[in-house]
Amino acid sequence: MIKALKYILPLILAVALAFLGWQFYRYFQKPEEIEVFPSQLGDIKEMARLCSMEIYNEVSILDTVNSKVMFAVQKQSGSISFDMENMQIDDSGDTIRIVLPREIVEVYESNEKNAWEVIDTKAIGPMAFLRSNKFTTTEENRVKSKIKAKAIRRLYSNGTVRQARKDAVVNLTRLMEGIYRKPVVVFDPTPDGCLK
Amino acid sequence: MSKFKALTILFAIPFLLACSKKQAPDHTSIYEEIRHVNKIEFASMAVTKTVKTERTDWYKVGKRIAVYSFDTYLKAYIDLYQFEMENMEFDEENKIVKVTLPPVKVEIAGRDMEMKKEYENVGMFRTEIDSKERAKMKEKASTELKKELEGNPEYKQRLEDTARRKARSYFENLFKNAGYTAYIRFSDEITDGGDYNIKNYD
Repeated sequence: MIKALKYILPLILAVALAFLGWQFYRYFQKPEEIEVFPSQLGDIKEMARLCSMEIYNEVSILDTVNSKVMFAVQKQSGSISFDMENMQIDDSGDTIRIVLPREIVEVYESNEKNAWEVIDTKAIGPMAFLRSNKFTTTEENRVKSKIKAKAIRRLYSNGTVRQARKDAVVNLTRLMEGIYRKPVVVFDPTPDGCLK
Repeated sequence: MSKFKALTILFAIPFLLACSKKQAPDHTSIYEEIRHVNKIEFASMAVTKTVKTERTDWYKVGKRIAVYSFDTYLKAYIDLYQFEMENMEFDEENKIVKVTLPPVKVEIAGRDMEMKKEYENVGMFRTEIDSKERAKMKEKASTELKKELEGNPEYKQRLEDTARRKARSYFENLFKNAGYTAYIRFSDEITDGGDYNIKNYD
């Protein structure tokens, strides 16, 4: 009996090890379990917007939400445009007078590769080692909405919006003079823009 | 007494190490590029991508499933840098103008920063879904979207058609206000077929 066990035990051990090894192999060889569903197309929105500036930004983000710190790098794309359908045009005189409308500032996450890269997250404060350092979707979205607001504010403070409005005046004047074949004056009531 | 002191210090060390200073929010620009453009956007469309992660195995206790979605925005525009005075032929006698507009182009403007949580079921013994994993999911969904857009021209076509229609009506109205009847066509329609394919344009 003991002699038989001498042979059976290593065999059982070998089988068990092989099984475990196979499970490990399966675990590490497993393809990504991320499934992307086919796109859903939304409604098409019609518009007529004069775009005078496009922005591309790469920012590093260090932010804290609920005693959790995130460090990430984001690529942003954006534009500054003007609604040409709601533009005041006075064509009653010899000179066409146009009032430049309020700017539309849009900032998105770029669609480039690795546009949102999370470098690290950590929990801080008392008992931090007992708490999770993982951001929930809501917490992460809070960080992102702060990033967006900050990016828009920056476009106003660093003069990008001002420049976009200047460019729009020049572009609009040129276009409208071509259409009306009369002198055109584009009036800008808020050269620095109007931050909501 | 010395034993008590030693024990107190021993227990306090992890707490002291854990209490780090709160980080002040900092969004620093690494790279910035500003492009002066002169475009008119005539149509936009949001495309929703939904992405799921599921890691379930017989030897794991509890489920780990999450579904998120986000929108990517497409825009259709004409580039006015390609539009010259020569593209407008005025007939002052009949108050008619023939306009050749630059081709409508479609581009991806960007995607939502936030991800919408559609569903999450993470068991007590399973690891939570973290930001890096969500970023990876978003990345994969964006790559798939690009492939879909390249492989299926219908997506862009719908947007282009709407933008063409809108551009036509916008410029027709603008010229009408200026006292002209406008006939609009697009430069790519001329090269594509020879036939202008515009019912109003003779």
